[in-house]
Amino acid sequence: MSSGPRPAEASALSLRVLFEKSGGERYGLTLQAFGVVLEQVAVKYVPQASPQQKLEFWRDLKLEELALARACAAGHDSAWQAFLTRFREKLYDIARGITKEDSSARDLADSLYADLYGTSEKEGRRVSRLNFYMGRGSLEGWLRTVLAQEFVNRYRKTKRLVSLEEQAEEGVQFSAAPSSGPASPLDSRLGAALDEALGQLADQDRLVLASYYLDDRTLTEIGRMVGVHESTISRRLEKLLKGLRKQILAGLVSRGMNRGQAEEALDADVRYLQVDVTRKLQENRPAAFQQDKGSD
Amino acid sequence: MTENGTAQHPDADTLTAFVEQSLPPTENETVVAHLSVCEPCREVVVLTQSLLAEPATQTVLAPAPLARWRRLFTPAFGTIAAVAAMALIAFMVVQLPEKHPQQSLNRPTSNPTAQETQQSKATPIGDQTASTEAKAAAPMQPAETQSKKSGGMNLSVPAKEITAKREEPTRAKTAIAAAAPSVLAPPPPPPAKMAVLTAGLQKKDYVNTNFFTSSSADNVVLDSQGNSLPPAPQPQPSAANSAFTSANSKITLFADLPANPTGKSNVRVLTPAPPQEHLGCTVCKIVQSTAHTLGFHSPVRTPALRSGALSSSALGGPGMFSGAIEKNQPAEISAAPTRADADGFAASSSLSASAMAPSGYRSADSASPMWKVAGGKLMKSSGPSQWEDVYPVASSTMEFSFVNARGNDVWAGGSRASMIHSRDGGVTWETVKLGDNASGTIVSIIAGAMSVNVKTSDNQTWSSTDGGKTWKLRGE
Repeated sequence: MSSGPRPAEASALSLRVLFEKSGGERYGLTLQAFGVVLEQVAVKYVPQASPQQKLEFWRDLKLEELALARACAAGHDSAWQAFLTRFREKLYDIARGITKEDSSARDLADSLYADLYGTSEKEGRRVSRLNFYMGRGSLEGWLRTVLAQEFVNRYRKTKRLVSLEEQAEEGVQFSAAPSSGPASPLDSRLGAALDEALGQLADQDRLVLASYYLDDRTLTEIGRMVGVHESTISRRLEKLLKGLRKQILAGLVSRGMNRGQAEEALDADVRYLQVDVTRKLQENRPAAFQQDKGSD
Repeated sequence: MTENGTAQHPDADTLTAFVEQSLPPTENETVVAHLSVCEPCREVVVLTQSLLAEPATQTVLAPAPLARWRRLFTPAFGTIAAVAAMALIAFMVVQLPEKHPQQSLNRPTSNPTAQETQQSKATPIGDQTASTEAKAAAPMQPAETQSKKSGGMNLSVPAKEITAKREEPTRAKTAIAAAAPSVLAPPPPPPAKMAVLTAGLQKKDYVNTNFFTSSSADNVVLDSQGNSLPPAPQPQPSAANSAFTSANSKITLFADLPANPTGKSNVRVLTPAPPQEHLGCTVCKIVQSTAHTLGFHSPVRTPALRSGALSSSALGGPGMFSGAIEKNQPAEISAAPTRADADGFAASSSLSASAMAPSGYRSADSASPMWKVAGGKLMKSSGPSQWEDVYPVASSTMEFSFVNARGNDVWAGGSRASMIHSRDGGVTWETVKLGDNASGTIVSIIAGAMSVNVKTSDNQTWSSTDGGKTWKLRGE
């Protein structure tokens, strides 16, 4: 008695459905090649998943754009034609939006084009950057992110080479040598309490504080990043500061201060504070920003 | 993102999915944790998000939770409460006048004089309002009543007024019995009654002489024995009319009439139904005051004339007075259906839809649909929060980027400087050719009656002054 298709058959059937949904055939992809791509994506993001979980994961991918990108990486002309039609102008627009300047935008977009086409070769085959697109987000969004990463990388590289005039303008030449004199007049307990309070922050609160106070982001930008309205960010910031103050006061009291002394300690000039808030907020910060080119 | 959590950066795919909010919650938290400590990734995310188009719909904050009792105050609750209140008012207006006569019918009426004295000592609560009105007319009260009032309680009612009030239910009762003879007997001439009722009466503004003439059938002079029974009062056409009638009858209170020289109450005025007690009802006072405010003092109804009857009669149109003219009308005019009176405004040419159009009035049906470009497709609102793709085209050939709609005149543009135009709200489309050297994506369309200006992403500005037939590149 037949009890439906066997798992292997069901998997092949589902794969065919996904392939048809992706429309990879019109870009020159084969079912087998598409299956390899999907398996590659699953190995990267859900390596321990069961076949059913993998299938659900694949269904959530942007299959049509994944097929287009991989067909371009494989060098199919029809795919490149479709890609250029859809994204050529957009790529320049995105680059212009990032750099705010036309020539830099052209430069940035052209360099990405070169990467997308694959200027380097590995084992006799062109290595296209489109091979790293996994279809979790839209292809346009991925191009945007890759361009933004490229721009940040360039900016950080050039920032290391600052002219002496710029250094002078920033006051580096005239900056005082690090003091090796007496310690700060402030009670060390304040630093410890602040250190402890910052260490107990939740990830999202830390992100909001770092974005607002370290990166000078606007409430709107932070709201977009976290996915809430800017007024919510405003309220959350206010609440965070109140909570931090309360926690620091409690920490000071637990370290032997009375309430009045703790309040007085909080009124101290922050310039005397020995706590590196930036370091504390950015704990476990990666040593350097790594390009995902070739590493992902 | 690689396995080391925050040690390495999320890949472009993961960051893209984070920005597009399509990551599963657990992975989203991991990315947030990384972003909280990684400035370059924050930079990338902010740069990426700033390039995203503003959402088509405004973010709406969820309203604060309401207390349970406040949830009752929904529009449906308000409607139900309003309907219930109107039903209650209608019930009171209709039912209360009927109750009072029934109560009065149970009382003995054989000895009105003794009853008057007794009632004047203990006035029912329902009559106290009426007594207030009587106090307002105190200067006109007879001496006998004044003396009784001075010796009695403050709440006592003048005897004659009470008599008049108490007689009304009796009148209603006897009027039913005498209804048949009253129909046969010719009514006494109105002028004679007016003479009796207003004889010796000083001229006062609040004596409504029109009332005597208009409702003469209801005003009957009785002798002391009440032998001559008046015809039964005619039923009022509606509850609303009865309320207005009682407003009139309030003016002709018995206290306003001159005292009988003999000092006895041998003249009684029977005012039309409903009885006087009803005037004390709060609801009726509200209705009455509303009626006065709205200018409904006179219940006179205008004759049912069709709209345009007078205006078009001179030309022999519908509503003509002369039968001869009617015969001379062309067949199609005579056969034209006469519009109902309810359609009076519609029938009037001065208030026709075309006449109202220039004033800016737009009905809900004529509201223009909304247009937008989403995902490179041209969308038109086909209903509340329903959008349909009105120009299905393969995304490889054209992607829309801008749409401009003025009523049914719709311009839409997209990639490769391609444009389409519809003059009928998107039913039919025509392709617009800007120029051979047009390039870039359409980023702006400003359309007037005949002039159209188009900007592309290649900083080209094309303009047309003939509604899009010919185009000129600005600066040429």
